[in-house]
Amino acid sequence: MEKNNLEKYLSDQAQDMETMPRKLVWEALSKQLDGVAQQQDVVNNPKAKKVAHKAPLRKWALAAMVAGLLLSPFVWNLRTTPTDTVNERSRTTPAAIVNTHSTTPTIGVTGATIKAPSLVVSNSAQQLILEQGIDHSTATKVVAKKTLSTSSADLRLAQEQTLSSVLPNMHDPSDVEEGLAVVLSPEMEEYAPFKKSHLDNEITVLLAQAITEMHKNPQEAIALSKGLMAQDSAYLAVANELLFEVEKDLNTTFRAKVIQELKLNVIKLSQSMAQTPQ
Amino acid sequence: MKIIPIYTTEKQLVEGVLAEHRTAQKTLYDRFSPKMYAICCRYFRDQSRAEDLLMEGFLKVFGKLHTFSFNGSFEGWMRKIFVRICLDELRKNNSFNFSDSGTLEIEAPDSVVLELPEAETRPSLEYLLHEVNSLPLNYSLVFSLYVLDGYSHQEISTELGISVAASKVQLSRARKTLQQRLESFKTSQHGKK
Repeated sequence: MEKNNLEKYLSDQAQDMETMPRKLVWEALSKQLDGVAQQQDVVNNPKAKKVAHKAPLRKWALAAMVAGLLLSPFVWNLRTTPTDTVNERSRTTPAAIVNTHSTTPTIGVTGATIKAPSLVVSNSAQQLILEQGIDHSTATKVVAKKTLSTSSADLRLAQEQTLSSVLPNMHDPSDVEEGLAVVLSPEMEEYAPFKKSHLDNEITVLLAQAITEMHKNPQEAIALSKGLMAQDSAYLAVANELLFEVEKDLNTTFRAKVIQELKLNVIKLSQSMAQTPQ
Repeated sequence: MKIIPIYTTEKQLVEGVLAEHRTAQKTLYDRFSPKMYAICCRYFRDQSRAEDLLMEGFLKVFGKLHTFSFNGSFEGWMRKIFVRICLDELRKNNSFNFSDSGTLEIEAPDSVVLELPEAETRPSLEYLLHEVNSLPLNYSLVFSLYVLDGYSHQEISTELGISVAASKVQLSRARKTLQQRLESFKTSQHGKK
């Protein structure tokens, strides 16, 4: 069954026949091609879809980290502002630090390391120091009012001046030792389980340690206040007044209490030794 | 400055489409869409339906392009895809039914001869195609496949799921009907003169 003339004519014409589609057909086709391309991407790389879903979470996590890092200085500032730093230190730092070191530096004893006191007396004295602590918050508040622009060199200079001028007598532990010499009467010495020289030595060490701590902490505050107030006579007067109070407190209350406590402890110890059957 | 690649040969164009270059896809569409749309319009008179089939056909062409081996005509390869899509669409809608074709006798091959009319009395191409499309669907389908799209009876039987003999019967009847219509057209033309 071959094609006849009409059929050949129609076949030729049909091959060349063209009908233009509307433009929107390509637009729709283009969108469909985009969709197919995306589907192929997902099929070829299944992880891509999971990553795409996780991407927002990662973005949020990263943003939170950055925000945290950026805000952390403000949080630190809220917790520890410059003013708070000083106040907080004055609140938390004990006026007389309890000795927990196995070796303690001493004033007036060079080249020798003295062991920490092991007697009951020593603990009592330390407790007394802790209870007696000098309240230097007033001086610190004055410091806090001023700016903290003072250099460390100025502070050191002021500390040295304060040490030499305000507390000249407290450098030497023998001052207190003299007061303690009367503690042991000849009667007591007979019952004492230790020699007088040993006790003197312990007292010397203990006092040296106490004075060292006393110098360390109050002097820091004093030095700060003095250094800052050096340029201002009004402030200097206040500082001198405060320092005078500190000195008075040290000379009267502290020394008296230490001696009294030591006497009581020695008496208790002697009595307990006397009651013990030989 | 945007560089627009120019696809001078079919091979370059196919390679560009395979690389999923949008410009290559657009070039291919612009080059072949009028002919392919004409095929769709021959099978479906509804414009929107024909456009849907055009899009579907191009999506299939882009997807199956890697199977094209450059041994034959690229246009012929595309035509077969579009014709098959049109037939699938007709099959989905149960548009054609060849259940009674097997009972018909096959007419003699040369019993119907469609002579091309003289240029003076020849009807226009549009008229001829309109007459073909206005034939009963089974007739016009086999006639279109055999005459216009160049399918053999074997291929038609495969595509439509009918026997070769049934395909020949449908073609013979289509020719006979078309011949009668052309005769009436001639008569009407002579009457006008």
